[in-house]
Amino acid sequence: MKKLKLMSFILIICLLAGSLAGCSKGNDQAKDTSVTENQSSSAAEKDSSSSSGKATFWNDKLAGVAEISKKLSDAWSSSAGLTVDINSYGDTASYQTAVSQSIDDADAAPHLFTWWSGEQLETLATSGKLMELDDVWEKIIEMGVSPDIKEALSYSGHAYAVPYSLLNNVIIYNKDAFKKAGITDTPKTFDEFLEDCQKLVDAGITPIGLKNDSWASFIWFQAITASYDPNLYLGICDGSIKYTDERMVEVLEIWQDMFRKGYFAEPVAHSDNLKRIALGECAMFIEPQGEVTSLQNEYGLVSGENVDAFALPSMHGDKAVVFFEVAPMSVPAVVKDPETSKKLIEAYYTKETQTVTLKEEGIVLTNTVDIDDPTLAKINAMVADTDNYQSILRFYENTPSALRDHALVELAKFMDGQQDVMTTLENIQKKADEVFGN
Amino acid sequence: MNKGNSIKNFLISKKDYLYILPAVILITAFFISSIVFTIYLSFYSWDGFSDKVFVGFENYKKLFTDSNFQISVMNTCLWVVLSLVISLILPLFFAILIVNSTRSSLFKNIFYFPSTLSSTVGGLIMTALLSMYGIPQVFGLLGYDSLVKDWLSIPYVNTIVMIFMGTWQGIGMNMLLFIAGLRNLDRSPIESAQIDGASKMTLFRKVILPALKPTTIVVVLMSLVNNFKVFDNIWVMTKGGPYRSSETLALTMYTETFVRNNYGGGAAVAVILTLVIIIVSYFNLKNTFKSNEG
Amino acid sequence: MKETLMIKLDKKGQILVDTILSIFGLIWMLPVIFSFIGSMKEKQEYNLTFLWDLPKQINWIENIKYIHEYSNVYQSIGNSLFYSLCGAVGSAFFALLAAYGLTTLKIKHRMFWFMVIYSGTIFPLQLYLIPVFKAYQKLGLYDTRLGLIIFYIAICIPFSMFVLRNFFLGISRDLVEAAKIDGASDFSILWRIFVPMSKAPLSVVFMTQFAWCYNELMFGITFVKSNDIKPVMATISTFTGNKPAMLVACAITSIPTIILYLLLNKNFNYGIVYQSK
Repeated sequence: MKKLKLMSFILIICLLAGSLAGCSKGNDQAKDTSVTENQSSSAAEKDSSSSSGKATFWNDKLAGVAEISKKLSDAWSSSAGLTVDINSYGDTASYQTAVSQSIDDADAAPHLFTWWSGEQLETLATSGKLMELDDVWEKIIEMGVSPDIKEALSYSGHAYAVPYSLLNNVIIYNKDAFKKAGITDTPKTFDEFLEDCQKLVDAGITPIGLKNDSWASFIWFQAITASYDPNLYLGICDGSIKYTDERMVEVLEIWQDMFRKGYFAEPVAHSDNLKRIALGECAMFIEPQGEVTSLQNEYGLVSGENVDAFALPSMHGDKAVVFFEVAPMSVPAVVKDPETSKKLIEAYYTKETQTVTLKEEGIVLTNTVDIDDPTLAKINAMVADTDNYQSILRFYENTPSALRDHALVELAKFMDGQQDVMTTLENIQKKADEVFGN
Repeated sequence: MNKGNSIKNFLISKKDYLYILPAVILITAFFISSIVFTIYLSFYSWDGFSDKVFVGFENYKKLFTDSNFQISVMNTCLWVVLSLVISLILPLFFAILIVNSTRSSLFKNIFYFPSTLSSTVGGLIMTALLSMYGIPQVFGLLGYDSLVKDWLSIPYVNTIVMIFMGTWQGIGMNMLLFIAGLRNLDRSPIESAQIDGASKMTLFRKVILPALKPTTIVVVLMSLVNNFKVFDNIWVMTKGGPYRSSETLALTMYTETFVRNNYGGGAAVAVILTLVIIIVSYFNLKNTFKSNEG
Repeated sequence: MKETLMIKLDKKGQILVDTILSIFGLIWMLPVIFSFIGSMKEKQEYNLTFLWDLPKQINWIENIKYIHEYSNVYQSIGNSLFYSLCGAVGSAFFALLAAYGLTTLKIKHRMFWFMVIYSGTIFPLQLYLIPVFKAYQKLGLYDTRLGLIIFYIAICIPFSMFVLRNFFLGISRDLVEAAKIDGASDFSILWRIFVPMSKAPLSVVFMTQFAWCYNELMFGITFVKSNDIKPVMATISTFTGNKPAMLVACAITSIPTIILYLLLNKNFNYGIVYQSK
């Protein structure tokens, strides 16, 4: 009985202490607006952003990585001369709820927020919820951002977003695994690529690692199609070429053959996929360049020494294709102080901020930052080498979402061996007919 | 009669309703209004930003012809039935053992402990265990190499795996209820049956189980409703994959709304799911009411 | 009171029971053991090794330092304790009133009102995100302590009422009649007779609802965004990049719910469930 009483006593003290701590004003580290109990109007209590040099940035990308978020916030604040408050949401539903319900409210809207490109950006842009950013673009092009991106983020002649990240998807591979299989150089033709895969299999290493995310089944699909012919890829994306075209049949048959020969590993969780590449059980995967940084920071590999990248060579002598994806950031049209938003955007592309994004996430958007990482430098050089390489928007954003979602499911079934080539292509084409109105 | 008096009497006779008033107000304000909003939304097409467009029963029609929805319904049934069976049998099994053990408190605490952890923590631990480098590797060490793969990527197998993993955190409460139920049983029928020489099996089936009925009903009701709504576990482990084969209605509702931005369609799924839960709970609840009012 | 055994088992049976329980108990504890091992590792080491590989060192200090630097975990724990306390106590109070009303007082259409209140548990939780978020913004309750607390109270009422009502149904009407004859008012019957008898169901209710509020993630993320009012699970979920640190954070944050369980579980003995005769 005494012990019980003592424990109850301790618990109550802890609860009280915790409550007191919980009730107290915000701590310095967060540098946030503090909210005391019994709030009635959060909007009124918050500092009006225009007078105190605060800027809010909402995103759904930095939720699990408090470390990166803090470093970015520090560099960005220092560049901007503002206090940058980063609010990260790890949960899609929460993020969409927050954005959709705040975007029309001048008091609640953030200064800048990340979104998804393609149809989702278009929805916001065409419904007038975003601020036009043409003048900002002029400034950031001067700072080194590639003007080619503006096109993908523009609707009806106006730009509605700036890039948070431009990620290039290439084949990233473990050099030690290649060495073990006796491969000394990256393949220059598609046939060489297949030969290398065979060498890896013979050495007991599974050539290609796959992740089991259900939205990811387009990754090798787009690579092999574009390797066959970049125009074929572009054609099926915009509906001018049918999925049932005989060339597509050939593409899928080549892909199926690769599965049969054991070139692909069973799909596993993303982090496990990274792990088996790091351990050398698998040799390569197609991922955005940020994964090079992950392999270094999380798994201890060294870029250039045991990690490198190359693009899938073309089958018929065309340029090799590097697929890119752009994550846009936008400004709500109703934001109270657009000047702060613009200042915030410009500060993102300074050398100071970009150095942090490069080091921590592998993201760099300007050409003013020295890229220490040899692999990332190589990828950037590939993209700049327009004689030999071609940058194309990846499948996920390049085709209408209703068709894309359907295709992803069909392709996943194909990859799993659940259905054959013709059935897969016909099923996707049925949906394409609906969507493109053929 | 004096009018003033009858009004006063009326108000006084209604004062009993004051007791349920705060609860009713809170529930109505938060939850019932939400379901009304959801029902309203299910007749519209909305992407979260643009204006809502009235479409009548379109969303429902589309759902019933969508093969993914049909799979989702099947999966939901599979989940509910399988989970129900396991969340009745396993806790009861443990409860009976614990009540008869020399170290009941210790074991009770061990088995309940995971339930005190949040599903965030639990999800993290479970995905670590199930990753290809976790439990499957153990089987690899034992020589079953074919089992060294990602179990969560195999359709239908992953559902069973997830259900079992869910029991780690999920059976605590049911087990406690069964333990309390067992401890409250009348000793006399049990003792007299033992004196009559009944075997343990007969003892169990004819005496103990029937006496546990009230507890079982509570456990069944709670488990049913919770299993229909299960979301966190499945989302964290498979997100409904591969190729949407492990989606249940709760997940379909979520992905339609927040991933495909089809708020109207998601609302329609929500309405259907809610109706199913209401129907299922109604029959169970009627039981508890019959014995009360009757 | 020492717990009496239910069936008289012979020694062999006893050993069998204890052995089975021990085996299962060990399986049950394995995830915790592995997490314990994992929490001692360093980030890259954790990512590269197997679950059961022993760590090279005990990295707790570094992991705790990491947590300190990149979040305000202790404040979040304090926040959650406060929210959960308010949620559990508030909902228990309203549930007591409602359960009493539905079982003992003269209310017509009891099943209807019961269903109204119980319906709070039926709907999938994601339903509430948008309507409540929208309403909170309009009312100025978004990103406030009060807003989150009210929500938690509301969401904990249905289950609490269900359990308490079940229990109250088993209380003999004679007791109530006798008290009324002695001149007790309705409220004092509730407060002076029912509540003291309800140690068991109240313990269940308080423990489970406190734990639910404390462990809750989705609404904590959606209805609150300022770092200093964030509840603890929302804060922990920012560590998913560094798993060992997250495991340490999980361990620290799980302490309150564990203590609460240890304190209250002894009360789960009598009549949580209404026994029909």
